[in-house]
Amino acid sequence: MYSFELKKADSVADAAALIKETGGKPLAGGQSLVAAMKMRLAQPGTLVELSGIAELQGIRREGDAIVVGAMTRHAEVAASAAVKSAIPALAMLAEGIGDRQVRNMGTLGGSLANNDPAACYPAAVLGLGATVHTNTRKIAADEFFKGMYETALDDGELITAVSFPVPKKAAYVKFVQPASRFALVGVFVAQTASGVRVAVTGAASSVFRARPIEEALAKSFTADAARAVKTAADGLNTDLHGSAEYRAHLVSVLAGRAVAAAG
Amino acid sequence: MLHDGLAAGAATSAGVATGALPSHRSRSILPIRNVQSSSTAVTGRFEESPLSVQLSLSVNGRAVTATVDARTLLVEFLRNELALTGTHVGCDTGQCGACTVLLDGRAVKACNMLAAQANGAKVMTIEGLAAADGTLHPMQAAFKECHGLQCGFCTPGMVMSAVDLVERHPKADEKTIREQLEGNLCRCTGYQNIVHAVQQGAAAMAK
Ligand SMILES: Cc1cc2nc3c(=O)[nH]c(=O)nc-3n(C[C@H](O)[C@H](O)[C@H](O)COP(=O)(O)OP(=O)(O)OC[C@H]3O[C@@H](n4cnc5c(N)ncnc54)[C@H](O)[C@@H]3O)c2cc1C
Ligand code: FES
Ligand code: FES
Repeated sequence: MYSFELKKADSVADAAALIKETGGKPLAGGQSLVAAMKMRLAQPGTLVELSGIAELQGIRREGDAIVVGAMTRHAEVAASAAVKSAIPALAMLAEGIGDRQVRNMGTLGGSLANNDPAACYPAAVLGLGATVHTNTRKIAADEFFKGMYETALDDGELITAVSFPVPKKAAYVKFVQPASRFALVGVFVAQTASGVRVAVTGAASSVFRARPIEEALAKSFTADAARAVKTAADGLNTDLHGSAEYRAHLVSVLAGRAVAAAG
Repeated sequence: MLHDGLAAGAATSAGVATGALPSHRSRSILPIRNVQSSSTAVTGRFEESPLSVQLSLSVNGRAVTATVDARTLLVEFLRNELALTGTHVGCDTGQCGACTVLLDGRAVKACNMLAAQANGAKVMTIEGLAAADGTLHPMQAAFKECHGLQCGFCTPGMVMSAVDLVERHPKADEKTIREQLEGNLCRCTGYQNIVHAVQQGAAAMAK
């Protein structure tokens, strides 16, 4: 790991100013960033620690949405009574991230800013049509994820919270890549006020919506309808864990399972 | 904004501005051997500079203050500065859980976080579990009785995870135990007896 200066911010404004001044990077749970720095894949000259910022913490209900602060740990989302009762699929998704130790440190904001192609939270954000709040604006889920490890965030822009609209029903089913525990493929299905949404993670360079499955489910919200859609393998990932064709097959199968789980 | 990810390929395309890194790296760390007997503040030694951080935390119930290189991982701080070598480094990549300690009661991987991230917190390592007179913690005793260890390398991490697990799931069944120990790998693959040990330890902790 290369040397860096560590600064601890006590407010969002303070963090934004420190990042602007130093060109540094925010440090959330460190579960991705510290690992990347150890391998010298990341070498920020300054790290600005967000863990002391009270306004980034916590989970609250706001009308028809659950708002989760950016620094909320995965384990807190998994254990939250408010999340469990309003969006059980989100609590279950959080409980399925990595392992206990990772869930105790990793945060919602860190996961979204990182936008790992196989991460779980991006599927919930896109599947529920959530809104990402930053220190400067609000970004709709459909605009947020731009590509592999790439998001709509500007340099130095900080995620402050995510507002998840409460769906009629939803479920997330992940086919675990057993060594990394990330998603080989994960599918989030939701029946929302604005229609059926199906978000797929792990299969391509970034999370995406499976429109053909959404259309099929809009007509008939059944597991069979989802499974009957043949997902195209074009543009999907091939690696030693699975071919693009295998992943394409999994997308439809897991979408069917998610519909069944959503009830 | 494209940022530096972990994926090969993405890593090289991500230019991260750092500016010139100071070459000043003087380290003069003396391992603190007497931490077990110390009941007051322990002070590590590292020249103060913009690249250092001040730590003030509790480790196994003792107040510890130190100045360390900001890069210091929590596991390095525990092992190299405090000589608490019970916390093991298996993979050094956040995968195996051998380095698991409790941070304010929650299991975390000490190799995958900076020591500075534990600032102000209460850290508990395997050395902090047994009673002052050496009586083993019920979970340690259960691992011993159930032969829940073979080479013992994964054991400190397993025991710390098990303590966290039982705090949250006092009556965990086998399935829950296996799920909750997903972050701990045993290269001797002695999982059967580990699960037995956690069940026995949980029963003993309930008493
Ligand atoms: C063994 C292991 C297994 C894992 N398994 C899974 C899994 O199954 N599913 C899954 O989804 N993830 C998994 N992860 C990743 C985990 O969820 C990480 O915690 C997460 O991706 C990053 O969150 P963090 O809080 O640790 O962020 P950090 O590592 O601190 O930061 C990640 C990036 O986000 C930036 N950042 C952090 N917070 C903000 C913010 N508020 N605003 C703007 N930028 C910010 C940082 O600068 C950095 O670039 C796993 C990780 C490990 C080590
Ligand atoms: S040494 Fe920390 S997880 Fe393996
Ligand atoms: S007992 Fe040898 S690694 Fe688990």
